Order: sequence, then C-alpha cells, then structure tokens
Amino acid sequence: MLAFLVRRVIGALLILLVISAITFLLFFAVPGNEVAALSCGKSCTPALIDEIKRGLGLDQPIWQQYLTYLGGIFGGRMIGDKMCEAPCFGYSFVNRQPVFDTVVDRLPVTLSLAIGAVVLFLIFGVGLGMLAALRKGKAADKIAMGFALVGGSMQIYVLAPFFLYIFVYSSDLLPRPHYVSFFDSPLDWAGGLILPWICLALIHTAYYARLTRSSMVDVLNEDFIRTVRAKGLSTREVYVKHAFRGAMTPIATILGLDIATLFAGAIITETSFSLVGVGQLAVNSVLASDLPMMMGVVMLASSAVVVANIIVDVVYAAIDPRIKVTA
Amino acid sequence: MDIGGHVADLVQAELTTADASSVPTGRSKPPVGRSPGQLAWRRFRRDKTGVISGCVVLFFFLVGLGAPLISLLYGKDPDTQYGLERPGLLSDTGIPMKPNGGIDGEFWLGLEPKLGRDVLMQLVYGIRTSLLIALVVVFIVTAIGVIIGITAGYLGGKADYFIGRVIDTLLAIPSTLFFLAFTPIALALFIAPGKEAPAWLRATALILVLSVFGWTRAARLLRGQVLSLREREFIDAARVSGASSRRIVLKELLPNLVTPILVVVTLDVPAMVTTEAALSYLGVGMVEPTPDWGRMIHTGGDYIQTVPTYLVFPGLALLIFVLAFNLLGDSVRDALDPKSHR
Amino acid sequence: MLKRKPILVASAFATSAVLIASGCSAGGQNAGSDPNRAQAEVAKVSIDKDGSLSKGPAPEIKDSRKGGNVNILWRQDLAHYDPAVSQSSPDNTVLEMISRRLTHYRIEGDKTTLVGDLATNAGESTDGGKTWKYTLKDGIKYSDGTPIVAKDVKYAVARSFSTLYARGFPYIQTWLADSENFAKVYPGPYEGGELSNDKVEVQGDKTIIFKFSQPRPDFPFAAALGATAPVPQAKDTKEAMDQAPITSGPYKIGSHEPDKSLKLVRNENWDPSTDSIRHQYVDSFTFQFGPQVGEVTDRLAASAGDDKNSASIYQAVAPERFEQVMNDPKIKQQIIDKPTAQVDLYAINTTRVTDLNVRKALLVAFPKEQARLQKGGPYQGDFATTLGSPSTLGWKKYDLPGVTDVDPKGDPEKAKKILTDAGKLGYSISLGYNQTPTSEKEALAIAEGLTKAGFKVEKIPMQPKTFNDTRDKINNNLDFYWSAWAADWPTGVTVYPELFDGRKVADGRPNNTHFNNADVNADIDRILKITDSTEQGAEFNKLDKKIMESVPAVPYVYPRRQLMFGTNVGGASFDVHTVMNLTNLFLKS
Repeated sequence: MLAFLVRRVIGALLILLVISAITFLLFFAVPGNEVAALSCGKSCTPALIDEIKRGLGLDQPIWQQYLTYLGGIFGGRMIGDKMCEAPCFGYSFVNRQPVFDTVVDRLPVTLSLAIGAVVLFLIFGVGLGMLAALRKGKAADKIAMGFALVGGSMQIYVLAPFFLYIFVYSSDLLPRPHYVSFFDSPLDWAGGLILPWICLALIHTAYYARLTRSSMVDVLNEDFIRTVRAKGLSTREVYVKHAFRGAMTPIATILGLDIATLFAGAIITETSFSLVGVGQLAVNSVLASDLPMMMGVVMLASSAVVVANIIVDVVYAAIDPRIKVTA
Repeated sequence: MDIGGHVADLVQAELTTADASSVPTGRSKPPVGRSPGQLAWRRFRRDKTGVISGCVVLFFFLVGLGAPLISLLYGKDPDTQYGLERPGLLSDTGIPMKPNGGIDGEFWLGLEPKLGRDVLMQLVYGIRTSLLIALVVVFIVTAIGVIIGITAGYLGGKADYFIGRVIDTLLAIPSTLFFLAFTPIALALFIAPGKEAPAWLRATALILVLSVFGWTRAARLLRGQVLSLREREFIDAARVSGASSRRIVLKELLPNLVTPILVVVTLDVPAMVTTEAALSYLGVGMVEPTPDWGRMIHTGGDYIQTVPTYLVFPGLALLIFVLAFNLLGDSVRDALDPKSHR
Repeated sequence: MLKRKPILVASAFATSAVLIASGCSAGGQNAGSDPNRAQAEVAKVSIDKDGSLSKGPAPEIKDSRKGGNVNILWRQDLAHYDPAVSQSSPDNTVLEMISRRLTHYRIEGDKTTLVGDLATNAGESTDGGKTWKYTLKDGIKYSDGTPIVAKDVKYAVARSFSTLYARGFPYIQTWLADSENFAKVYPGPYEGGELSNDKVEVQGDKTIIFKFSQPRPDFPFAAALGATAPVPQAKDTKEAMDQAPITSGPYKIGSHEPDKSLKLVRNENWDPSTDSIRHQYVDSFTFQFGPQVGEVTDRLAASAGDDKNSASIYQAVAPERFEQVMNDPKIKQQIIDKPTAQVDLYAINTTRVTDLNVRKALLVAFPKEQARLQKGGPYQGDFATTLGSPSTLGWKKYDLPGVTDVDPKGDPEKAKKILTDAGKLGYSISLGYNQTPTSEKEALAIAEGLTKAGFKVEKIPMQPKTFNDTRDKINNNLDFYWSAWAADWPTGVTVYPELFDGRKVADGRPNNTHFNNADVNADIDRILKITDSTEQGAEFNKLDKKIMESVPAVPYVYPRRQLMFGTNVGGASFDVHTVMNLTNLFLKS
C-alpha cells in the first residue's frame, strides 16, 4: 500500500511538472509582447514597454524564465527588490499581489460552492437512486429517474438566470448569491450559496441517482444479499447494512472525479452567479492577460484533479478489498 | 463546464462492473438466425422512449440540414435586421413592442432585442452551427480515440504506459480555462490581421481546440475494452491460427468495439454541443453574425425581465436536444447490450 | 430495463414549468423621450481667481445627515492608487477623496468652478500665464497630523518626472521641460536631485511658483491633476505608494483587499474649514469590486438588505435594462443621468481611406440611430456632429452642409450616389470592432447600413483586452473603428492637439485617424498660444469645423452616463468627471 501510494504521488508530481511546462510555454511564449503594452496606459512609448518587460523578466529566454518560476515554487525567489516566499507563484501583472495568496484567498468560495453542492446532490442523488432501486419498475422509480434525467440535461448557464430572476430579483424568496465566510456566520454562508447549490445539485443529481440505482440493483442481485435475506434479516437492514455499502464503491469513484470537475466547472458557475472565487479569478486573469495568475490557477486546478484521483484510488482500495493495488 | 468526463467513468463502470461474462458484443453470443445488428434493431424498435427520442434527434438534424428550405418557406432569414429596418417593431431602447418578445403571426418566436432579427431563424441556423461543430469534433475525437485506445490496449506495455500518462496529464488540465485562454490564440494563428475571418475558419479553430482535449474519453474507454477483449478466447484462437496483427485488429477487435464506440459517440455529441454553447456563452466561441445557441443564451440572460422568450427558446431547444440525445444514447446502449441496464 | 416514458412526460412538464415561471411578458415601451432631461451643458466652468469660493467649509447639502456606511459597487479595483500615476476618471474620483491637490472643482447645482483646494485660489498669474503663483491655506494637514508645506507639492511635481510614474498625466512635466521627452530634461528626484528653482520655486512654507518658457493659460486646470497632490520627500515609498498613497482628504484607506474590497474611513486630521469642496457625511465607504453592470442594476433596483445603502460609481444601468428601469417611476427616482465630457467617434484611418469622397460617403451612410440603439438608444446620448464635446469651453454647434446635416438613420441612396460619382462603388472597408456582446451588435448594424450604401464591409472582431492597443498602432490594417476621447479638463487643449495634430501620429497615440494637415497643425500651434480661454475656445470651435471639412471621423454620439443608487442614499450627483460625486453622498436614515 505504501509503495503504491509513493508511486502514485511521484507520478502525480511528474504530471504536474509536465502540465506546468506546457502551460508556461503556451502562456508565456505565444501571446508575445502584449502583456507589457497592456499595463502601459494612455501615454505609452516603446521605451516604456521595454522597461515594463525588463521589470517583469520577460526579456529573458523562455526556458530560463521557466526554471526561475519552478525554483520560486520550491524555494522562493527575489522579484524586483521583494522576496517572494515559497511557494512563490510570482506576482500578478495587474495588481502586483502575490499569486499564491490571491488564489488561497479565493479558494474558500469555490470550495464552499463545491462542498455544499456535493452534500446536496449526494443526499438527493443517492436518495433518489435508492428509492428507484427499491421501487424498481414502479411509478416512483420512473418519476425519480425521469426527474434525474431532465435535471442532468440542463445547463448551469441556462438555469442560473431563471433562478436568479424567479427567486431573487422578482420575489426575494432567496438571498442574492454572495459569499460570507463560514466562520463569520454559518447561516449567511449557507444562505448566500443556497441558490448555486440547488442549481448544481439539480444538474449533478442525475448521475448519482442513476449510478446508485444501477449499483443497488446489481448488489441486490448478488449472492450474499440472498444469503443474508435468507438468514431472516429485515428488508431495512438488508438495504442499509449490506446493499448500500456495496453500492458505495462506484459512487466514491465518481465523486472523487466529480469534485475535481466542480472545481474546473467553477468558471461557468461563478460567472453565472457572479461569485468571486477561483473561477472568476481565472476568467478575469485571462481577460487581463495576467499570465502569472493564470498559471497559478491552472496549477491549482490541475493539482486538485491529481490529488482527487489519488484519493479515489486509495479510498477504492480501502472500500473494496477485491481491488488489487497495482499500477 | 465539464465535457462529461465522469459520464465516461459511469459508462466505463457500467460496462466493466457488469458481469464478467457479458462482453458487450453480439458476436460472442450464439447465433439464433438473426444477425446481432438485427437483434439490436428489434430491441430498439420496441423501446418507445428510444424511438421517440430518436425521432426528436432526427428532427434536429433535419432542421439543421434543411435550414435554407425552412427559411424559404417561412419567408425570413437569420441575418436581416427586421427591427432596424421597420420602425415600430422595437421600442427606442430596442425591446420588441409587441408582448412576449414580439411573437406574432409573422415572427413566430418573436424578435431579437436591439437588432430585431428573427428568433426562429436564429435558432434554426443555430442548430447548424452547433451540430456541425459537434459532429466534426466527435468524428475526430472518436477516430483518434479508437486508434490510440486500440494501440494502447492491444500493444500494452510501454506504449500503453506512455499513452496512459498522456491521458492522465490531459485529464488533469482544467480544460475550460484552456479553452478560454487558447481559443483566441488559435484563432489568431488562423486569421490574417485586417481580413474578415470566414465562419468556417473560426469553426476550424474551435474544432481544433475541442479535439485536442476531447479524445481522452474515447481512448480511455476503448483501451479498457481492448484490454479485456485481448484476453478472450477468440482472440487467442486467431493468434494461435497465425493471423497477422493487422487482421486481428481489423477483423476481430474492431467489430467487437462497435458497441463502446457507439456509446462514446452518443455521449460525446451532446457533450460537445453543450461545450460549444458554453464556449460561446463565455465569449470565445463563434462570433456574429453566425447564429449560435450559446451566444443567444448569454444575451438572453440579460433580457430575462423584459424579453424572457429570448432566453426560453434557445434554452429549451438545448435542453430538449441534450435530453433526447441522452435518452437515445441509453436506448442504443440497451439495444446493443441488454445486460448493461437491469 | 427501465422504461422511460415517464421521462418524456416529466420533460414536457419541466418545459411548461419553465414557460409558466417566465410568465407572459409585456411588450416594449418607448422610454427615452423625456424632453426635460439634462442637456449637454455648454461651458459653465468658471475659474475662482479671487479665492472667494475657495474658502471652506463646503456648503451643506439639503437634508444631509452624518453617519453610516455607503457601499460602492464597481466592476473593478482601481488600477492605481498613486495620484501621480492614475489616469482614469473613476479612479481619480476616489483618489480625489483621499488626496488633495493645488486646485480642484467645486460643484454647486449646475455651476462648476475651478477653485483652490490646498491653495487659497485657483492660481495667480501676472504675466499672461508664464508664471503661476499659489499660496497654501492655513491648517491643512496630512492624515498623520503633520502640516502640508509648499516644498511637498514641489517634490510631488518633481517626482512625477520619473519614468517610474510615466503612466500618469504628462502635461505639467511637458510644459515645465518644454519637451515631450521631459524625463530627458529632468529625470526626477531619484537621479536628478532637486528640481531647479527656475522651474518650480518655493518661498517659505506657503508659497510655490511655477515658471514656464511660454504662456500656459490652462495651468490651473492641470494643477487639479494628481501630480500636485503633495508628497513629503521623507515619506516617498516610490512604487509602494501605488498601494498606500499619502492621504490628506476627508477619508483615508482603512483596509484594502485588491480586486475585492476597499474601505475608506474618516480622516480625523482633515479640517472642513480648509476645504470648500468636500464633505465628510458618511463614516465610511465600502467598495465592493467585481459585480458586473447588469448585476449592479438589478441589485440597486431591488435595494434589498444592505443594497439600499449602496451606489454605483461609474456605470450602472446596463443597456439591455433601460426599458425596465426607466419605465418604472419608482426606480427612475434612483437614477441620475447626464452627458459626459466624452465624444464617441468612428475614426477613419485617413492614411488608408485617402479619398475624401469615400469618407464623405461613410459619413452619409453611417446609421447612427440603428447603431446607437444597440447601446441603449437615447440613453447612450445625443447624436454628435462635432469632434469636440459640448462641455468644452467655447463649443457651439456649427453648420457645415453635407457634414453636420446628415440623416442620423443614414442615407444609403445619397451615399451610393457619392460613391458612384467618385467611381468607388463597392469600396472595401474593414470595420474593426471590440468583440463584446454590445459592440458586436453595433458593428452588425453599422455594416448593414454601409453595405446598403454600396460599401463592401469586412468585419474584424478584436479582443476586448487589446482593442485599444491594436487600434492605436499605425499599421492597424483597419479602415474604420470606434474611438472615444474625453478632455482631461474642460478646454480644447487636451482634445484637438492630442487627436488631430498630425505631427504627433505614432504607435499608441490617440490620434488614430492618422489625420495630418499642415494647415491644421499650424492652427493648433497658434491657438495654444492664445491666453484668453474664451477666445481660445472660440478658435478651437472654428478648428473643429475646419477639420470636419476633411471628414477624418464620423461623429457618433455625445455619450451620457446613468448612475444608480439605493433607496436610502441621498445627495447623489455627478462630479467633474461625470462620475458619482462621492463627497456629497449621505444616508437618509
């Protein structure tokens, strides 16, 4: 198990290294000099552009810039006359703030968005799926599955304006989506995010409902369930104690990957609800050609995916002893 | 936005956690006088939902294909700015004067605010944009996915390892952010400064970007299938009987991969349609004057209080299309592999 | 296998639910035909020479009360916090609240006066504008309680020469050095030592004298820019000042999270009796950075919760929301609306489109009304016929047959005739546009109008983030593009020489028509030497007409600005930049 973990972590680090190299190359080599021009202003001269470039280190060869960047992540580096402590992802071209601090500062919004949505769609998804499996073939099954499928075919950017209009601006039923730290006020935190959570849950519930249903049906058909049933356990016990547990394995797999997807999908969710999280940060830095910030967000999002994958593997191995830990 | 990475996993899980004896193929089953294709077709025809959603999907394709004809019969086109040409259609801030977004006998789904183009025609031609881009991307990613999946699965060893790592890397990259950042760059590579880019050139750039990230799902799914097929008796038999690798791949493997390929296609088409719409929603997709659902939805969001129809119609069209395609995909899976759903 | 018939039923249900939820919507209603709305004002700025209006305190606003916190909703954080660097008008509105300058604008109703801010008057000159003398008021202090002295103003001006701050306004430096490359003449205090006394002289703690080689009648206006905001040499933190400026106004920075929020709190060392411009009504301003225009409109219209104490600062009514907002008598009370000092033009690249007839045809064919509808119709502003703004000193509407009398809807037949007569039918025009949802539609409307007139239009979408830079390159490969300019103070001095002096055509310059006419260049030199601002204004107006004879641009609109505020916010008005005048805001309860 330990060897497996070590191998996976090394593999993950390599993947991140490759991604950082590709991204760096693409971001810094392709768009050319426009960065300097952008931060130049109304009375801009070529000399001034050159000076800004020098200040940003853009006059060095690209590989050297990359090595400096990598070095900064692990050991910190000097930028201008300021020491940028490790992990140093540089400073924003736009507002001169440390990239790492900014990303960390925005993370709670995106994280809260994901956590709440996950809790909601797990409850609804697994609930609906269990219900459907229990009442297999009956009306409840069909309605639950129908609801899940319609929800799953919806797009957040279509739902968001409708929900905002119906629940916030025309009726005041729900608070306008905004972020308040959980530690300041748990109630406001939940209130401010409830609408995006519902939207996300509506969309994602479908997969979990279907997955739970099919895993439950699978498990219920297996021999050991028949055995415990024969032993005289109540139906409730059979479902909760045995079948549910068996059905959790595939759900854990998908969930791990889905959290990563939620992170990546934050761009559209946060744009649709005007929440200032990592997704908005990404969009704004793309619009402003803020390369260090874009790099920072890419590295964060990639790390999230990679870490989620490792966790899934570990959890998978832990839940299901049948899985051999190789590869 | 996700391009449905986890749906692939779901299917992968369904395909592989299914009882080991049920390799999703008609070939390995004993013949009962009908070809597996015929059997699947019979099963499909009995599935009412499948047939209905198939019809809906077909309808979308026909509308996209026959857009010019519809325009001819309906007497409107997607580009004319009716609201600007005819005074009285729009208010002085650009809102249709008639209620419900200007729906009447002449403009069946109303008028676009500000420019006053015909919404029905925009929608109809929008289908063309979405479907054309999605289908080309799906064709490309399926082809790449099949080739790479088979290579990795069949050769195994180092090739498999290498391809696996490439896929891992691609999957870890936040694709939306990359689309956002690189579509403009890809466009700049294609388009000469000072010249108007024809719509197809822009579409090509989009297709390129979408394809780069899109092939991993097909490749992963097919690799898994090939891996399990490789160990099957009939492949062993072919190998023992001295068949060339070429023959084994083309004659033995490929026919058995029809089901997973179809599954991937039915998953990828709606995923690509929504991804394309999402890119346009974010402002990096197709530009005016090419009609586009994503852009309509984006604009529609701003008019929800005054011209809700302008958001309702494209939103609904997208929902129905995706839903119908998802249902069709389910039915196709069921028809081809009755054991995958119980 | 799961039967999916109910799914179809469910989807049909969902469909109808969406339709029901969205409800039936009413039709449109014309909203912008209010005959009483504020018109572009013609030159109402006066200069307080004797200092009678420069004495504090500022007159109280009716019904005003003290206390509370006003939220300011704004899409983006300030680009710069150092007044010497900041150039954009919404930023400057904020900085003017925290850093005082030599002069500034006092606004009472519709009367705007340039008065002394730190100085006792707007400036004294006895030799026709070659030297300007300022005397500082008594009792003026920084937020740390130390007094403001004349040498700090001199140091601030000297500092602005440094290339570190080259992004700021260049006027005072250029005039003192008598060179556009002012940093070559004097590189700033870090490398060049003290600025010599023959340029800026300080006498005691109170007096500062600026000396120029030729008359600079507009200096009092330039003195209102950030370069005269005092900086004590010992406290100059160079670039770090872009985060933490020296503060002397009624408010100082309480806390600042870049791109997220900014809190301005009362500066207890500000003495209202020294300031005839600013108030200190609210306890604090909290800026929330991030919300887009549409969201700001929706939030302020709803005024729910703390949003009733909020206001917009720069842009508040999204073009697609005018209908719902302006037709609601209640919400309309929460909006102020006024023309800005800006002029929107469609610039013609005169180095590419060299044929005057083609340019005239462009002007005649241009569908101003259809294009303006995309940006909000009448709320976007009145149609322009001149290159300068009606708010500049000396502006008046002039008649130029064939140029100022064009049909705002565009006249395709007439334009086609001009093209045909000139043998240019089918002339290809590459129209560059900013690829935003609104500008995209504007470009479509324009292209339609031009195509009808017999032009062949190539529509070139340009990235919003690089639109200005790409357009302002000399080799931009474009013929026709949107361009806007606002005067930095209300005279033509920062308009015509910047936009139409052909000798200044260069990459990154606002002269993006590339217009170069020796006659006009000579006129500019001549007019700049006129010391009487009324006479100068009249001459600039004549120059405007002369330039328009060559049609280097299509005057499009004189843009207006609508600002919105929550139901509990009082005192909303515009400042000199047509931005929300923060200093007058208060909470009603």
